[in-house]
Amino acid sequence: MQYICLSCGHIYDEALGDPDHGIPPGTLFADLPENWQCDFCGADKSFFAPEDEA
Amino acid sequence: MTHFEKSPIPAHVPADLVRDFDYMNAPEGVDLYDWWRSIQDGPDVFFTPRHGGHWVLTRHDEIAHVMATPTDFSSRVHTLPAEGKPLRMAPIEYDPPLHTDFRRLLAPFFTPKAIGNLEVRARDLAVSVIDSLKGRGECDFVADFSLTMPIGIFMSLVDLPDGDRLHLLDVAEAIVRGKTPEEQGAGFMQAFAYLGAKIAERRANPGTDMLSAIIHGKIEDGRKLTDNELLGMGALLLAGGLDTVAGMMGFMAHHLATHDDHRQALLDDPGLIPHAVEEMMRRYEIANVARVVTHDLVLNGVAMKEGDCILTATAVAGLDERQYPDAMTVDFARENKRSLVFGKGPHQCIGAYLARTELRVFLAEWLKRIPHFRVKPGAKPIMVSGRANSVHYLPLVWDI
Repeated sequence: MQYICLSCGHIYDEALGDPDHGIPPGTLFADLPENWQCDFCGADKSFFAPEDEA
Repeated sequence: MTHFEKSPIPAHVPADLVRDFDYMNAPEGVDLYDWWRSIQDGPDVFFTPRHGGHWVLTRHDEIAHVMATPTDFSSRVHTLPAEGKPLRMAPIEYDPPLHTDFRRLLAPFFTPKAIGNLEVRARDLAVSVIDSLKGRGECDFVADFSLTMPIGIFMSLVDLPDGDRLHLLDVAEAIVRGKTPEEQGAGFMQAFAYLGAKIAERRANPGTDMLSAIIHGKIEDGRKLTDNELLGMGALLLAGGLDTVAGMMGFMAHHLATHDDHRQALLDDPGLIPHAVEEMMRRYEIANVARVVTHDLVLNGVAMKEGDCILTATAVAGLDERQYPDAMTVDFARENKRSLVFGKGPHQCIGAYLARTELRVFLAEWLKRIPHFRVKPGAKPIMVSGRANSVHYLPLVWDI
């Protein structure tokens, strides 16, 4: 599943994870640490929404 | 009290942390951001007697911490001086949970899908304005473009007639850069008079626009917004929607007019534009907002009292060498371009995606049509500081 940053449009893809920040592929969005931030703009996790709903 | 007067220094403020700094009055003839950066030559936290007396944070990390910690630093005071506003502006001058309810009313208008529809209009509008300018070989970028394109988008979002644009720009200018509580208050009163009439119209005949959604939306336990909440929220939308993107466009246009290498890099690879937007937003952050201390506490070793006001100027946060090596240099390839330009924490700007979209569209369409431009020889651009920094005059020329 994909989540989109409502601040900049960056996509978090659960299948890919965020390896540059220690998040392995397959990590569910819900399992990301609460202090995880958008890789592109730095928005908080709370600024992401399911891509198909936003 | 005017901005020329100084307030008494409170007893708890150490004398060695007092500086005479007026954030709304950059000296003439100096580079605006050199001036902002120069306050980092002093203490990380200092107190100025200007604008009612307030603390000033000069470093990125402290500014980010204060913005992201509403339990210690309330947004009840969001700009300085604190007494300039007759009403609280929702949602930014409210703290959670009511703040969250206000944002929920606005959120549907700022989703990527909703903005996707607006992007088409933004592109059409930008192309139309640029095409009308291209053959002239010169323009005042501010009057001819940045006060036209993003504001046209905002006016359609709230479904206001384009003929009201110039009046509303004057109102927004007084709200955002009025230098005294009286000047700012007069701007608010004009905004309330205008909005009051529009609210009455939309109450009787609701539309699908943002203003109608706010008027007919519900918060807390299902109640509608009070008249004061509606006026405060409407005034915020006017000030934010009319002023901020235009200001940022001005700084970007000036940067590219004075940096041939950066302009050429974007012409060679338009795919760099999103990165260029982030980096230039980091270098030219504009919002100089504030918070108020909710209880006695110590910040960065400095004792502060409940009710103390703090200036959290993003204009200086982006220039912090501790966060951004070689901070004054624009580098589209900079690894960390993440900034506080849209705030941090619960009050992060809800219009960030729209603003980024407009800025990316502006650069793409302008550079396609007017690839090489420069500041008019002999002319002097005007850049000003305020609750939001802005560009007031930017004469550009290009070959035709």
